[in-house]
Amino acid sequence: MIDYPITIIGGGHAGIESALTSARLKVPTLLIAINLDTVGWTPCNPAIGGPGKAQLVKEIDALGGEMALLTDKTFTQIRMLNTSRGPAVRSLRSQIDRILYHREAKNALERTPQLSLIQGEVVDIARVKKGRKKPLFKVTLRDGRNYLTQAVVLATGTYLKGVGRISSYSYPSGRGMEPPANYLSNSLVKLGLKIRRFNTGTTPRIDGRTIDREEMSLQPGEAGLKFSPLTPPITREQLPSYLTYTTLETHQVVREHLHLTASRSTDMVKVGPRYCPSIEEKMVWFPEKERHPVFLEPEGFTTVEHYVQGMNISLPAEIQLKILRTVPGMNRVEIIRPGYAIDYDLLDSLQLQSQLMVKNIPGLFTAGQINGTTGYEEAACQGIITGINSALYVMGEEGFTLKRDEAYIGVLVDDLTTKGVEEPYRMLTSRVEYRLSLRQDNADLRLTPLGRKLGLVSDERYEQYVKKVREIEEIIAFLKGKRKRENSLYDYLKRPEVSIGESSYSPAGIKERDILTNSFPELRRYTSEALEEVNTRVKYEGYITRENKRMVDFREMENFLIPDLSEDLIIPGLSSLGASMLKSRKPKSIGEFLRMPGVSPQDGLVLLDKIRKVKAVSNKRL
Amino acid sequence: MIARPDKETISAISTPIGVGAMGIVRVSGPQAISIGSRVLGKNLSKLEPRKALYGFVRDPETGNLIDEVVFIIYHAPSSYTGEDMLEIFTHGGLVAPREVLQVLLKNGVRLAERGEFARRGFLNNKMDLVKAQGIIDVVDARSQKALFTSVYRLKGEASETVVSLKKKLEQILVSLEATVDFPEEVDEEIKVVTELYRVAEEMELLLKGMETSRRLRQGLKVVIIGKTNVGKSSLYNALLQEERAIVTSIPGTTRDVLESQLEYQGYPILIYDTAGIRATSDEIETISISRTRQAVKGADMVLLVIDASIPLEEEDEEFFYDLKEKGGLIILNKIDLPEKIDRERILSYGFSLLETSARMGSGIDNILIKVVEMAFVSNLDLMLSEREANYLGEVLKHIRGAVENISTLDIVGHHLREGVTELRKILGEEPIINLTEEIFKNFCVGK
Repeated sequence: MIDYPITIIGGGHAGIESALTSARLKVPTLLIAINLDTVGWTPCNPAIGGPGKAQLVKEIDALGGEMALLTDKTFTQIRMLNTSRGPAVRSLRSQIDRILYHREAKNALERTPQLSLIQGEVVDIARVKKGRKKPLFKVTLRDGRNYLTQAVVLATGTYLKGVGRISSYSYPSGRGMEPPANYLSNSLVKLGLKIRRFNTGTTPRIDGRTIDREEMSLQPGEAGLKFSPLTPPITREQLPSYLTYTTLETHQVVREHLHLTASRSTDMVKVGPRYCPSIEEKMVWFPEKERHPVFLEPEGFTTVEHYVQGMNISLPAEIQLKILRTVPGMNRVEIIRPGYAIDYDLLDSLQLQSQLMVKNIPGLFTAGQINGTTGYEEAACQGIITGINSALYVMGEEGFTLKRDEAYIGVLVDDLTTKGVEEPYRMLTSRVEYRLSLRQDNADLRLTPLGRKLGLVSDERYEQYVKKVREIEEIIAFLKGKRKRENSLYDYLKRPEVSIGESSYSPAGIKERDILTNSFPELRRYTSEALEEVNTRVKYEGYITRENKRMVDFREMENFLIPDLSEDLIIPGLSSLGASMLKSRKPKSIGEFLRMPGVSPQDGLVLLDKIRKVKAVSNKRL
Repeated sequence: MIARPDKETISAISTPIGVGAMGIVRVSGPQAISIGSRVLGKNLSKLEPRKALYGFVRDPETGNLIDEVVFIIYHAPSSYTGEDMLEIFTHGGLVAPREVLQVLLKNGVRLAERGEFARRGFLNNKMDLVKAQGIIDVVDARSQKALFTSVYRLKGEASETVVSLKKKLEQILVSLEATVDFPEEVDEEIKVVTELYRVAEEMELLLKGMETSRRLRQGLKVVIIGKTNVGKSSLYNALLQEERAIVTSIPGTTRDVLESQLEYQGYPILIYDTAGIRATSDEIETISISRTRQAVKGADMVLLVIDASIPLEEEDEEFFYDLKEKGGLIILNKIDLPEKIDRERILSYGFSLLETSARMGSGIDNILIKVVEMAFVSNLDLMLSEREANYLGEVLKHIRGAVENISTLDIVGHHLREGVTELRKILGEEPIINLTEEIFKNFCVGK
């Protein structure tokens, strides 16, 4: 007797989105978290968004996910980064109130029908076959409870055999001072999965009453911004953050104690994120830099604790204090919680197919840090994918995949499942081939219809989408119909000094702007989102057309599907690397095959030819 | 949803450059017919396919005649690639196929990648693998050799130039990507802009090197001009050391433009003898005069021949415009006869002047030395293949595109990526740079 068709292990950002998604698709879902009081916790930076990540948040939102709404409800500050660098890299970044975010996340879970929460540590997942087509899983908790389920989503974050480290002091930890999950990895090994180990770290939290703000520069938020179009306008007051810099003295103290850092004084693995180096690593990797920025970010509206961005550290606590006190504005600082490093078990993401289901264990899905990513946004977007696909799996329907030319999510999942990761993976705009087309501002246009088809998009969201599409069409028709000098208004808008609306970001260096809503007040009845979309479309038209043409070539290769070929099939002409990739990774399409390391274009052609011949033979038999 | 337009339309010269009496330029893709219609000036969709048709390729922008051609239209799927195709048979030699290709490129086709026609044909079920492989092997073999020779050629200063250009572009790109992906920790925008301007300047210099390279590849076009009966054909023959043109003393004997190739100290030179220009009512002569004008237009340099044994005439001075525009030399011919020319007047225009007696064969070497000196002076001894030159041309386009859009880094990033990809192709490297890797290597980013 099945208890819940879907069981999710882990209540972080991946687990939350996965659980909400499958429950919204009306499949009864159970979410098991080791501590329900820290569901949706942000154990590192209290921030959501930034380049690459903001695009993910907007895509999650467009598909009907929760992260953007939670962020809008709880941010203490929001800003737009890269404002003058072009719409393709413009990115929202927010800081959130950690406690509020958790509360809102838990509340979202609790008010969703079909979704149950329990607290406990999962110690075992076993496959149970009872003469059924699809195997079942038995999920066992440490307290003895167990659940029979059709699909399992592993969203375990850093909990698997997590070890926290402050210099040579190490302690079992899922994150902060929470217990790890020490038994589950062994159970995964028993299922035949390949386990790896990564490390990461975080900064000390300091007492905001012990810093001298006048010695730092103020970074205020901006009014009028939000992630989700569903969020009503926000008027709450924002908290500033502060910027200061390390000094030569800081570096001196760090250097003197390098030997005490966790990776040097213990057996911790050294596979950490390079885009998030510890202050110790900064000294070694960038010895010529005279200073590094340090951002002080409030952890919430109701706490004095501040996050010390840029000071990820695993030296002894008293040394951490000594180092912080060399930074201007922090001479009398007090540490509330020391920074620490953490290492944890994870799975090799090459074991997954593009729906984030383990290739040879149907029904087992994985999302978030367990797949080698870092970041709340990266985790959450995988949660959407596992949420959708676990539900489709249970319903016996075909899986859902986003492709590299559709979404940042598609790029992330494809990177994980075809290229694999060598270090914790963070989303970046520079990873995206079709960056000019896949922007945060058109995430809804790209994905909301897909979310609607799946059944994840509410009427309210869909109506907004339909309205935006209609407005865009109307504005374009208006621009094409009006004349300005010898051109249509549409062509006139292509000039750099012309922009459609007051709020349009204009390129740097333009002094005299011509704003169309001033001379054509009839445009003022449209939303600024629709106006902005048209602004970008018109100005980037040539580039976007070119990208779209590349997408056609890309699609062609993606659409050549590779059927199940028998294991011992020998394909003459295939390189040995190509043959081994085909066998070990079982690519779904020629496109995916070609992106695997070591596969040559020639291999692609050889395989195509073989597939064609196999098909011809089977057609004859029919 | 995002519109899904058709595939790109591609084109390439399918015959070896400079060999054979005919060149074939192939175009394949959904726009083959419409772009073809534009450059051929007729609606090809209304013409009969798979039939050799006659026409003229013109530059639709300027209306200039490029070449007189024969062409064949193919409709998908009945073509080599399975797509709409156009085959244009141009005049042979070095110039015609290339110029036809250039016009096509200007009108929206993309230069085909190595083996791309065969690949498209294969993908569209037009050929089996054995055939496709055969074609691709040949293409690859050629490129292997090209790679070897280009490595060989790209030694020394020239190779350093291309490699360092690539490095600089990559560095700018990495700085740019680090800036947009980590705007709070890295701000290299000013560096990106200033370095980009610097590279753009360097690229323009390289372009001059490319011009040298083109001349080395295709031959320097030197056109002999001058009024009638000053000894242009005698000079032509003296330069070629053979009696190629009919030399007579009847004014206007040379009615067509004659072309010959010679090599001087290893430098390929194409010499053109033209009809002397004078007011005439003779129809044939009118045609030959227009041909002369065309030859001058395509010249890299002109040699203006002036008869030293008679005074300078207005008709001579009319050629000074061409000389100014194209660069070149004044050749004072017939210096074996008593001199009546006003040298001071010629020199006052600032032209270089050499003297010769074409009839006696004196002073010929000096002319060739001077021509080579003027045309091939370049600190870049860069010898590029047609394909490499095309890639470099693309790089230049992207650098210009980046500079024009300097205020929006996302567009600059697009152009830099494309530019780096083209440069990597020239150097035979993996086409795509691993940006993430480079960002982390070069910048202390992260929070």
